[in-house]
Amino acid sequence: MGTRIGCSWGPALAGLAGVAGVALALQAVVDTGLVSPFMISPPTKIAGAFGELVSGEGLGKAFLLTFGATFAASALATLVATPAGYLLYRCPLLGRSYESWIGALFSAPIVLLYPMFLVIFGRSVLVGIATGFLVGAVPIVLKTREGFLAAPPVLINVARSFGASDREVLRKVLLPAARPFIFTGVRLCLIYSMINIVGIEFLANLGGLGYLVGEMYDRYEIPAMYAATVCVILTSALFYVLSARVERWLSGR
Amino acid sequence: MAVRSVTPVRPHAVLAVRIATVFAIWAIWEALARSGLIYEGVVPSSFLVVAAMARELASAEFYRDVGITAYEVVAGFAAGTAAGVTLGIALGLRRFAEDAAAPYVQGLAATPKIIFLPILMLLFGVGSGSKTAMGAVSAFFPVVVATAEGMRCVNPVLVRVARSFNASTWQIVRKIYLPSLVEPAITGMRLGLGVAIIGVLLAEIKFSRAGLGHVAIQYYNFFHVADMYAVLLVTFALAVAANALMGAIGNRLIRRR
Amino acid sequence: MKISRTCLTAAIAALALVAAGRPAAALDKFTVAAPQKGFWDTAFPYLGQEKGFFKEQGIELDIQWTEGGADTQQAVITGSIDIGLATGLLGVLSAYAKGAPVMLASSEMTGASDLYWYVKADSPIKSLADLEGKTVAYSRPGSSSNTIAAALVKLSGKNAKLVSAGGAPATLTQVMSGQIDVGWSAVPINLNLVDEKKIRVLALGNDAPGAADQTVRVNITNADVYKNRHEALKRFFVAYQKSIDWAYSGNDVPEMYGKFAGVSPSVVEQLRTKFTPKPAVALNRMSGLDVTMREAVEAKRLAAPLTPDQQKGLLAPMKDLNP
Repeated sequence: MGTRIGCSWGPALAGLAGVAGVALALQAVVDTGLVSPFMISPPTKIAGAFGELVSGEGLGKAFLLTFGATFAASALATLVATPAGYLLYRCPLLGRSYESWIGALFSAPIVLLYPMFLVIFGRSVLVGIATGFLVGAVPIVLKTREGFLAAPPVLINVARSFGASDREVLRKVLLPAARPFIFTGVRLCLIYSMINIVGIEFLANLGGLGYLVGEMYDRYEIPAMYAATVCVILTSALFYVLSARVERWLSGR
Repeated sequence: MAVRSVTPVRPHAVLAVRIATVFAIWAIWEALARSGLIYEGVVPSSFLVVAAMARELASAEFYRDVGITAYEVVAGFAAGTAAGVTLGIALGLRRFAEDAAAPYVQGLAATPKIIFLPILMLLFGVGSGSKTAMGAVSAFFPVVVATAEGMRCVNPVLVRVARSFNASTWQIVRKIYLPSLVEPAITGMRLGLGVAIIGVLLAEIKFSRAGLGHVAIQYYNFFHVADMYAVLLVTFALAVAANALMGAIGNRLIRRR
Repeated sequence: MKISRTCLTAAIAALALVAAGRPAAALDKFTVAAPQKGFWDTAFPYLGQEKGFFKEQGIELDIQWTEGGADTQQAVITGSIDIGLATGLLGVLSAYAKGAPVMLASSEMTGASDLYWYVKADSPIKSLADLEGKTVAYSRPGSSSNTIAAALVKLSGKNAKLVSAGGAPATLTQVMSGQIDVGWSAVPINLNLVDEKKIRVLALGNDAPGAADQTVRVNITNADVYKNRHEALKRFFVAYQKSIDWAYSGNDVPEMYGKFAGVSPSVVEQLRTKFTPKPAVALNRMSGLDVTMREAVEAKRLAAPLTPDQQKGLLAPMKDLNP
């Protein structure tokens, strides 16, 4: 189920039909009283709640806050983690020493540190940016080093035989070879940063899309809660698709 | 593109760098703790954290909380894995179905699972049920994606040969697909376990009355920071150990296949 | 027929053995969500259980402590908890108007004399007039602290941001570390810090217009519990009332409560007379409902005030369970 983005019409229509079928089934089970509307809102009410989210609950502002925080965290992570990955490549001792630790960080629940970021940064968007940066930097470091290691040695040797300096080797051989890997790392950074930022917005009531879901639940606006959840899903999916397309475009693939 | 082999590095040198790094981190931490630069208590002395860890490990209540979190993780992971493998196989058997479902599965896979917690609390209540469900939802997506990918990698010649011998779908699944899926499914399960642990902990932080996530946030609420760090460190260690165990079991299963 | 002494003794002994061996009637168990462990008014069920009042009524409580407001309310609505104590009327009105299976079982607190808002001792905020651009805490959405905090901000006439900070300890952490400008608490929690001049009281709950006569907190139950366990629920409130009566008169209360809340026993007298007088915790008192409904509409919790029929339906269980 790899990274295939474009679908032919047949499967796309079948997928849409599937979603429509699920929506109809949910509507039916709620309308017939099989399931309480306080557990599952009927899709008609969820659709109706979108308008209220946009006009009365600041959906647009929440979207911009989440997006902005994700881009800021990812940009910072790219600026810091790419040179760090290069350093781990240039210094094999450091690379071997830290590779497994950084890999372990990838699965560590770094997001659990958010209460301390609340104390350090206050109740602001910086909490999400800091966490997103820490989480997102890891794949960039790993992928950058992997990319440089993947550069064909023969090309490096040829460049050196023509008297190329370290900078020229980096610019003309290493970076082009590592580029697809670096962009994969940046794409993973975007996705994981966003996941953590939305999670913190939800947990710490900091604003943004994650906060909107929690707020609707707390206010017992169940259809609006479902609508806000759908918004988060659509935003995540959009992010996923956009980042894949940008990666492919930048990688020249 | 072949990966260039890394310049040989002596293991002793690696160990020395690691020890030096741990020492440097500890020294910076202690310096920060004593400097007063950061709001008091946010960076407690490592000795306080170690003492807090000793208290936790000596407390019976701590193990009760570990047990509750472990139960939620294991039960959720098992349910998510079972559903993920089943759906992954079902989608992999029909290319059309996989193509139709792929955008929705990938879209949901990229979604922060914690936002499903309110829905899960409506459906399963505010107790362990919603936390277990959170673990299941978290584990499900890496497993279904990896399993479906694995199905695509199965050699179609083997399937055609089986069909030529009039093998039923169930026989083909059991004798050809399942053995081929061990490696990709285990890769998915390793990822799934990691995210299941995080999902359960976050759910306990949001609303729970027991479990490691609840303990950590309660310590934060009362600003017992050293205790909070102690619980987080133990939680990290348990998560790493669980991942390592999953990896060891997975490697063993792959070797035995 | 003459019955020998031996036979009589044996019969009495046998009866005694049978009586001793017969299991006690099983107690009706209720799961109870109570917010803010340590507060005076939410301690009544705990103290009453310790004193044995609930067991007398054949009831056993499993008390779970929450951060209040939406946490308590949602737990009751989803059926995870049987009885939710001391939850904000604001939130209950909202859920009830939407048709959620929640019943108002009794009032819990009328007036806000127990709530107070504070700042760090060195804060530049000296009065409500200094709230422009500041953050003001309340516990959880729909709670009484939410209602009163909103009323205080409105009273100030300034543009301040309301923040859900959680329970009193968590709020204190956030205030002292600078995350939030104005924290909330309820007596006697954190009063010692006022004495130690680490925090300064900025406003009292009753400073909010109309708050002194407004029922701000209620006890709720799930509609299924009300329907299927009605008789046991009535016994629960008999025991609850007895717990309140004893809390305001018992000589052993100061020590028990002091130990439970980690405060000096001497504070109990102030709680009984000044901060939370007994009429404030009456179980069948609903006051200022019009004000609350207006606030709910302003906070977008209600689309419109409840109709008279809806109000009658809302208050009927309270009158039924606490005649």
